[in-house]
Amino acid sequence: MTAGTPAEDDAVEALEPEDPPAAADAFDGEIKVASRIVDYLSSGLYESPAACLKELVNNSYDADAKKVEVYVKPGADQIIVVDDGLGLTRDEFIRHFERVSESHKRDKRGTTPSGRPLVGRIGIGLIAANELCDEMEIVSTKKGQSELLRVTIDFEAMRLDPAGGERRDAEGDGDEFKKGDYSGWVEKAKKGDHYTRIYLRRIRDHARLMFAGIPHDAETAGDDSLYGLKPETIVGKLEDSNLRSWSEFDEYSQTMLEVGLNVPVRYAPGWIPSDVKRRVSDFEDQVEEGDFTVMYDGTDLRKPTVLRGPEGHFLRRFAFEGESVNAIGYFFAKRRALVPQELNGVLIRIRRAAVGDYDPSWLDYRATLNPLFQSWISAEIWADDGLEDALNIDRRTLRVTHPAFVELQAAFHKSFSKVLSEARDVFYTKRSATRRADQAREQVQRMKSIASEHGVSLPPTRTIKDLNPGADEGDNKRAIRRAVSTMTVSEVYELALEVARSELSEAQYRKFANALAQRLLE
Amino acid sequence: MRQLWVERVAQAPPRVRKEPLYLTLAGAEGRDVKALIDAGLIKVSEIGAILDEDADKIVAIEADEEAFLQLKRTIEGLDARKDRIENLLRNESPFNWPQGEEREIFRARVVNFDFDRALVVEVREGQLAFPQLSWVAKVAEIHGHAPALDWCLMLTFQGQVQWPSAVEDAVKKLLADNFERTQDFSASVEKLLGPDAVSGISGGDTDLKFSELDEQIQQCVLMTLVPKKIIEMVRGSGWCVKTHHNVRYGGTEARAPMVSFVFDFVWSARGTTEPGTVYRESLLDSVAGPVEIDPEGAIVPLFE
Repeated sequence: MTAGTPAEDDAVEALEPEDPPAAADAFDGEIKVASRIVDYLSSGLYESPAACLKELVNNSYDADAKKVEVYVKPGADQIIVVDDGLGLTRDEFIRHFERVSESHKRDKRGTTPSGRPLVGRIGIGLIAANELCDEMEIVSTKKGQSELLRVTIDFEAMRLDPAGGERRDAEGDGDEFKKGDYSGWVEKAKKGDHYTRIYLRRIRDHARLMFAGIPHDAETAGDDSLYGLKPETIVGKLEDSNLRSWSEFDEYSQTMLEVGLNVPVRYAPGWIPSDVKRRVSDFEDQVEEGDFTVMYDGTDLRKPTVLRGPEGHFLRRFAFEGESVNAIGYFFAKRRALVPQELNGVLIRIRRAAVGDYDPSWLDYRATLNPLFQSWISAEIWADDGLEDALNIDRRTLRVTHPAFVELQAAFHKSFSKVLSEARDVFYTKRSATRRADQAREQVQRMKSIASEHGVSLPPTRTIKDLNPGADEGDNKRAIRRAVSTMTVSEVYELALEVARSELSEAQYRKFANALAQRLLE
Repeated sequence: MRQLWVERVAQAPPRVRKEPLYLTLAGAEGRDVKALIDAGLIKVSEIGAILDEDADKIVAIEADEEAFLQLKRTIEGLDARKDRIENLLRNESPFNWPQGEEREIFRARVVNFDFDRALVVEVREGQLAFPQLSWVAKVAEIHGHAPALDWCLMLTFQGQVQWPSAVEDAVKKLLADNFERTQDFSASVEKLLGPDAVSGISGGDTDLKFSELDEQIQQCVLMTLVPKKIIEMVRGSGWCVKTHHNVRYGGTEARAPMVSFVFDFVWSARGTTEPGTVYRESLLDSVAGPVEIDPEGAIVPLFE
């Protein structure tokens, strides 16, 4: 309380207890959750704190919030999510929580008043918080309304007596469970206010440690942190070629990255090499259009997709229009293994929000086909609402038998196969041919030098074209291919070393090279 | 005033366990915390977020939701508690005390209670009650739990005195009794309040109304009363109270009249073995060097 103009009334106000709500403004009840959703929750789908937190952030997005503030530090003793969205009334709260079920699933084509495609499901999103904390307070006021809702949900009571929570739904729509009690009241809101503030209190131990970045196991936990950094600095850390995995960061940072990956925030500055940036500008435009900012402990949260590095790279677009689903996307391929490894795979987005993480199985692509080059690629697919029906309730997985998924999977695999071939061609075959040409030029130079020392004159250098002047360029290329297909033992040796060099650490590479040399000598 | 606070925090004794360095009622702007950051006492990241290594040095308490959120926005990573100080301290109850980690925050090496409001004084069952000062006494008692930790208290109130008649009469009686018991105290207070006011208080003049006195004299009433009550409340507990600053400022069009105090609480066996002597020493010290911060920010002694 800083010094300022005196307010005489404050002297009295300071020492009085908070006004109890008038009986007419108070309300309470039970939160009941359909058994199917309880099954999802108890199966550990929300075991990651990031998965729960992103649900809350996505709820803010659906409330047309432009800015969400997330406060975790210090210590994650309480977690606060504040948005400037449309807000919630008491009646809406009660409607959402009297029975949280899949029947609350939104209209397939639902959009927010500002036209954003809806991402989350409000009841399920808030219920996910029950995995993080024992108590949640929601403070909200809706645009254009004069009421300020204050409601507290007690999740702990139900954990202490889970059996007592089972109920039979009278309408025969399956079992339902009580997940907590709520009580609240309505106050008068300031005119023109609209927001939702969520306070998660009594954070459960496992979640608190992860949110705060306190290591469970000091030996295996990463210690570098992204806390308190600008987006540009974070990009610098993510593009470091020595960073092999996000697990090298502390769990605070990993949680932050996972939330950023999932929610519809902007791409990071310089996230992709400038020579291919123009080709993905439509993706940037889509998130820009969403005008959604998340401040995570003061850091402007961005997508952690950072595709950079000094080696060669190319980008290919993906576009598919099918019977059940349409999608666009891109493949980014670079020479050598793509790090951090979390980006190696395909990330699917529906309605601008990610479905889980990058899928390293490439939607169940055959792992044996060009495995080396699979590890050199990252892809993003933005699917339309056709794929929404295939989405499981956790928003992390898709039903693989759903027609939209099957259709998209086939189209994706076809494109992926082409990209793999191209990666092999661009990054390996052509480079290999170039290298051999360089070596040949070097040999010629050495021979010329030796000949010169001995006063011998050599004939002019000849190329394949010189040897076969009647053939067109295509014939010559085929001739080159034939030449390189009949590789000598030393060439195979060299190829193996090349692959090892790109895939292994320096120490492992040396070990491998020694073992290989030993084998050849035997 | 903030500069004085920063200097005191810089001089605070080193932390011995996990007790915070600084506990504050920071307000929405958190200006005192920013001053500590600017002085390099609290380290921050490139976006101004308090670094993990310094996160446990500082705790802020703010009950108002809007101010609390503004504070979180202003100083990222600050350990801010959305609660009333009296709730956390379990109010004036001698039977209820904060426990565990909540208790630990009240063992901060420097406690800054900038109430930014008037001193509340009530008469309850014929006795004067000072709720805010009772909280201070509780904080002192928490610091006194073994191992006792020396600490510094910064205290700020608005400088106006607007009490009901019954409270005014009781306060006058309290001061008159003290003038009678401690002549040196009476002499020092006379320099502060002036002879008329002291004589009116001592003589039980019912026409003397604090609220009708000049604003600067009202400030001086608080500069006399607040240290006296605090020293009295902790008498015999083991604390020797040293008044570092007894300050009045404001009272201009731009700024409300305010009073601020900086006390050092030093744990000493004398505090329990010689409570009367320690009390008198502390009392005389409390009004020995009152100062005024003038509109230009200069510190001016109120008397030689």
